[in-house]
Amino acid sequence: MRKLVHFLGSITLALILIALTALLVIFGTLLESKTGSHLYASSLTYSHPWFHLLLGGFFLNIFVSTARRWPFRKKHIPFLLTHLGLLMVIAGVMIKGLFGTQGVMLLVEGGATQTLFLPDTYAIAAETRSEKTTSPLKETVNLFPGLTAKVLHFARNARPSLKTWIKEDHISITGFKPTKIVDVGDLILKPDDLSLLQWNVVGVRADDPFEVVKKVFDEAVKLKVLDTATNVELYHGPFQSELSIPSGEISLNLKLYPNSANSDFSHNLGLEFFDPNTKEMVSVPLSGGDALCAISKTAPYLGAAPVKLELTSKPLLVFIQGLGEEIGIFALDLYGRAYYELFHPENLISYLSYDDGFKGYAVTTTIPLSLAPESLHNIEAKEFNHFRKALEMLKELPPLKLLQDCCRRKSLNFQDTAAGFVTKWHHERHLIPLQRDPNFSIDRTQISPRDYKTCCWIATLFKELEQVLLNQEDPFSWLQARGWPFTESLNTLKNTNEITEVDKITQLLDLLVQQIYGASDALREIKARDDASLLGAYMRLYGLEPTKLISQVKRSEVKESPLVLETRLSLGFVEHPPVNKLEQNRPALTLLIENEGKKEILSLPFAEYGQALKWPVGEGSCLVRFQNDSLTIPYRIRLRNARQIHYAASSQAFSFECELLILDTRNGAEEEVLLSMNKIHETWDGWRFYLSHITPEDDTAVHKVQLAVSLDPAKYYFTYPGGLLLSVGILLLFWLKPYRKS
Amino acid sequence: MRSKLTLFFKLFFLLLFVSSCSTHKTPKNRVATLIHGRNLNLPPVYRVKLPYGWKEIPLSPHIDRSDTTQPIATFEIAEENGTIHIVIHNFPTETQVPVKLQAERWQRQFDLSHSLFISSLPQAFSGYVGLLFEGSGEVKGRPLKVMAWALNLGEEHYQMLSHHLTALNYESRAQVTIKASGPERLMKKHKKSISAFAKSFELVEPIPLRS
Repeated sequence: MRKLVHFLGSITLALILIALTALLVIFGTLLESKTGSHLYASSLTYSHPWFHLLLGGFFLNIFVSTARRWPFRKKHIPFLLTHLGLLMVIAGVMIKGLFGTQGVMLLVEGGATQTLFLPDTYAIAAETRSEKTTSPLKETVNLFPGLTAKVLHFARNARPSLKTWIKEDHISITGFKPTKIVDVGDLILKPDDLSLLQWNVVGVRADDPFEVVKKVFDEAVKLKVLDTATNVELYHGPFQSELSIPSGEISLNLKLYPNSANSDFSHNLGLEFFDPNTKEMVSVPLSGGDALCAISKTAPYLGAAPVKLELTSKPLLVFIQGLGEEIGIFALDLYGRAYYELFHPENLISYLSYDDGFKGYAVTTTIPLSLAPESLHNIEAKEFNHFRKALEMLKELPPLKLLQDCCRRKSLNFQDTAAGFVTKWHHERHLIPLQRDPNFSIDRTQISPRDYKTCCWIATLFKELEQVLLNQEDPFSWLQARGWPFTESLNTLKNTNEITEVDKITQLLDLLVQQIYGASDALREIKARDDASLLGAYMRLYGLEPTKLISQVKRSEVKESPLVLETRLSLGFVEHPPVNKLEQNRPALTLLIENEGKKEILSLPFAEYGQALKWPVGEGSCLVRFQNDSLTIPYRIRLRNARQIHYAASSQAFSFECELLILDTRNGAEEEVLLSMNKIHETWDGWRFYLSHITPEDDTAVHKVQLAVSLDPAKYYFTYPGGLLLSVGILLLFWLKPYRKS
Repeated sequence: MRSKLTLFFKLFFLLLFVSSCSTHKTPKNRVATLIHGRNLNLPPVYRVKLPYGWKEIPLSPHIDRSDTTQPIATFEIAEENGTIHIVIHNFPTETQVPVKLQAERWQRQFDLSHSLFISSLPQAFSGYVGLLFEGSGEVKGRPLKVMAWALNLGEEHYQMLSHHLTALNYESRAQVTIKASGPERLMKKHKKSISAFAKSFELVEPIPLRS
């Protein structure tokens, strides 16, 4: 027994303990640097029972070595102080480990909380309409009387999975019958079997959602290709990506354009093809306000596109399950207007909450299509009407006064005649209109001499320029070769890199009109060929050409109520192997919920610090969430302001600060506190608050702050006094005469 | 040796009481002032820290408080060479109105015929998000500098208060403007305290957080 006591208090044991501790610390350091995980290293070292045993060993060793010196003398004072100090420090560490608190508090500017989340703990938070609880995770948790949760499965690492439009291989839309999804190879669309009066819902599984879109066009859409000027049908039949028209072959390319203006991952669809007759690239948008309106990408300054497309389909809603979690949503209306969106459950911007979540959650998407859409014919009629109104409003302008005079003489309606003139000009695609009606005439005497000369020159020049453009020659070089006098401005326009080549030509036409008018006094007299070209030139002089008028037509997306689809959210998770970096593991639970005899199964991914929705169980009687354990501290912390301070003239952070209002709920005492980097706050009873994170860094949104909070109950009673005693003891050991001499 | 020991202990204890310096000097000479909203039957909705030397101008009991063109609080900094007026308005509405509309209104108040300096900076404090409008120019022929904040509650807070729409919550979720205007030199002198005043503005009751 004596030998045992001697050993317990011996320097040998002390050295063994120190060596073991050093080895443990080295092991922990190496483990942490290898795995990058403090939690993993800590679980095998500092938090491991072995470490606590070592601490206990130190305590015992120091205590026995001290006690062995009994009875104590004056010369033992430094020794006793040192050893007592050590014992108090070790006791402080052990008490802190057992009874201390360390946690995280999340605050939002303007809000207050008393909730402290405990890291590396698990609990189930439950809520009824009248009360809330947080219960540490056990095999069976009693949430509320009559409501229990039994853990069926604990996954150490899992990824949350939100189910939206497709659940268990069926399309799930509120108000629609569930529809089974098929593989893309098994998708057969028979237009005759589809309804004309309601949305036909189809679900498809495919690696590439866009391939499904193309297949739907091939199988369900009918197409007419028409000459814009004459309305002659060039093709009528099923939609095909390669088809023949009298002037040659057309390759219809279905294209997807990112809709940068829209943040919900919707895309614009369109068709592009090369017209073999005019050698122009034509684009027909199928989405957006300009849907179905063909435009020439090569020569928009000439007028309308040379050909137009009329599409017909049955109204379709197609949901496409891709490779990942995203779901493609594709819709087609009666006239081929299309909508395409990639729905990402992880990128939900907003959701619907029914009865505060007790009746569940849902998401919606808005499809800007309707069951009663406008046809291309309707759109053209609107354009015509727009011309009528616009020209009526501008009828006091000289060119339109001429036309009014013509209409009066021939007893024609001005609005219809003017709109018809402009529409024909636009569809026939000329810089200057052709005289189609030999009886069309205007009173040239009503035109001022300067305007008349200008218009004759515009008409003549533009007729020749049109041929240059149709031959795809360079108009700038042509003008210079013909001796055009204003070469400086032409060169400036030609050499600018800020606009496209097509826009340069559009601007060139306007520039030429201005230059001709400016130089009209110096020009010789010439005659206009016919009255239509004269009127057209006059309208150009006043900016009334069809391409300018058409740009004022305000087209909007669907006029009637757009289609709003809704689906319930359901939660699950996908289990993965746990990783060594324990901080990155996100656990999940499968729970069996029993509510007064009724059972249900619920999957709950981990919500760190409660930052996720609570999910309804028990037929909406309760909400639950799997999260960190938490406790209520006796201080209500209110975040007033948080900010990042920058270095002068730099965006680099110099400091982070937050202003808090701390209310002691026990006595009502309130204190204003400023926390910053390296400036913590400690209450009278040892609660410490440390600012660890602020987001966002700028002032564009309400700031959120994360505080690290700790309580060490032994600090002032054991740890600090022990440290002081230890320091004094060591000083006395080395400074007092007897020890210095030895 | 003893004197060295004594010196050591003195230095040691001195170090224990040194704390880090903060970049932000919270002015101590300020008084918390409560402000009622449009409905006097409700408890005060807002509070703000009023620096010493500022004067609160009581509102006339005859004004119609429900008229949002009237302020809910008025303050003044009066000096020999001029006075700065500070007014606070709130605009309880059914939906949130963009703060930039307020900034556009303030800009229109300036005479465009004279040189005008305008700036607008995003702001976020006390649960509000908005902008700080600064303008220097002439208003009705008088040179004037304006510092004005237009603030909406953050989206989450607005939703939370809308969810439990009591009369107090309806008032609490209102858009707020704080406008200080006065001679340029005086405004420059008091710029920091005006800014600190505005940033001390908050709701009396903390906004409940979703848990």
